[in-house]
Amino acid sequence: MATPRLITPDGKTINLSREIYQKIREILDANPPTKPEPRRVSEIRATYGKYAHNPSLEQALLGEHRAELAREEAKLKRFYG
Amino acid sequence: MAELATTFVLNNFAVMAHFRAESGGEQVLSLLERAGKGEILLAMSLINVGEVVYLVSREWGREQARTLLDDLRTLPISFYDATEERILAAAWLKAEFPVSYADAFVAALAKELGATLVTGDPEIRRLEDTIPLLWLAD
Repeated sequence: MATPRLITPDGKTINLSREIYQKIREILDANPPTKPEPRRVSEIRATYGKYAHNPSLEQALLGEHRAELAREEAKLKRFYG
Repeated sequence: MAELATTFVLNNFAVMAHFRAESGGEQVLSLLERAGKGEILLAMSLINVGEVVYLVSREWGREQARTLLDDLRTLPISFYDATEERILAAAWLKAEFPVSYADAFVAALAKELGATLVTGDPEIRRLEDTIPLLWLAD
């Protein structure tokens, strides 16, 4: 069995002994994770398509990523040949 | 035993599909509605949120970026900080796959949460053997 790990809300990873893991499982089972406060469907639907009149960002996003990768390649070539 | 809710990580492609009612937007809306009812959990990396903000600001103007950020915050999505552990997890992924830095954070968060990554971004297809993907329909 892989070592159980606890990832804290701030992203820290803590390796756990099997005994501690079992204790934590018991606590979690007794207290299910808090779910976000329910939102009204109407609030969520109000944001659907709200920005449809603006130009698509798809090409800007893909272009940004292509440019980022190209910059990295160029930097690597400059430093490491 | 209490059942943990299924978690999905949204990237900026998914968020913009919702806000612009683009292809796949209805799938994202459906996920948001389910998250609103507490049936599933939705997550985003704040690095990805930052990317949405600067792209929107550059392309549509700062005022639109502020409004969109306010709208994003009203949605039932949990935002995750870039901690040292997450930065390094993203770095390991980026070293292995030719993806953008922001997408590396999205992928690392999906791995950390054992979540499915929701996207229509063709560049993320490179990660499909590493992370479960929910592909937004064309």
